[in-house]
Amino acid sequence: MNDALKKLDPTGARTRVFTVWEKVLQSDGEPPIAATISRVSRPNSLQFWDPERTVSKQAFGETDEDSVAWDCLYIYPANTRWASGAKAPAHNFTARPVVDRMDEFEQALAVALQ
Amino acid sequence: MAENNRSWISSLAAVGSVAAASLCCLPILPLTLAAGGAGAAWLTASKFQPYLIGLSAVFIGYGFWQAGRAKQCGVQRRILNFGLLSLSALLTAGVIFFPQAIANRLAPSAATATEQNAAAIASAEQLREAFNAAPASALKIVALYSPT
Repeated sequence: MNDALKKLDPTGARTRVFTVWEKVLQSDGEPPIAATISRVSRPNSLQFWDPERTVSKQAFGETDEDSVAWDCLYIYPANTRWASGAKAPAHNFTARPVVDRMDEFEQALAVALQ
Repeated sequence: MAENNRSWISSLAAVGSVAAASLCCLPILPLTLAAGGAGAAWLTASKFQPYLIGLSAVFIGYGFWQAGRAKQCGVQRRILNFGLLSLSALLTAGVIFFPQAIANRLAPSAATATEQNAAAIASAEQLREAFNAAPASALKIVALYSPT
């Protein structure tokens, strides 16, 4: 994700990234270390640690272990406001592993930024 | 700091490997390969991680098998073998199942998410507020990840 963003929005002025680190796996007992955080670090962006997966449950419809919103990216166009509840994203990349869909992500990002 | 610790551990592992190589009857090769696989799996968050972890498990199993058939070694040496292998298995399991916890222990000053620039979140409302506080003209991306 960072590579595509660096390429298409090097200064970070046109995008805002909200990264939510969730406790999903048994190995996710603790918050991510700085090295992990830095992998997706962007100017003017925010990162959250969500051990209870509240975002997945409250905003992305998680109802059980099979519906956890995890390893996914959502792109929202400019001027989108999040009124309440979950927002329907313009593009979503939810098939795991999302890293295999970075080409699609970059294409969608390029179109959205035009 | 985390990188320094990792380098230090790698160096220590290399020295340990050389020292171990000077002893006979030790399952040097499987131990080294298992440690290398687990270490590489820990250091890389790539798609190869599951394979590296699997390799580590295989080499530890091979080490136990090799140690078990080294009947010509003395009792004390065999106990040492099994001790080293058991320790290796424990460390590898730790790296596999609790990578973040180990990383945090090894690099406490590297700062956890809450200490760096990631805030603990208790409700999706916090994300919604941050989302809406961002400039309207900016395209927004929400990413949901597991730290490991």
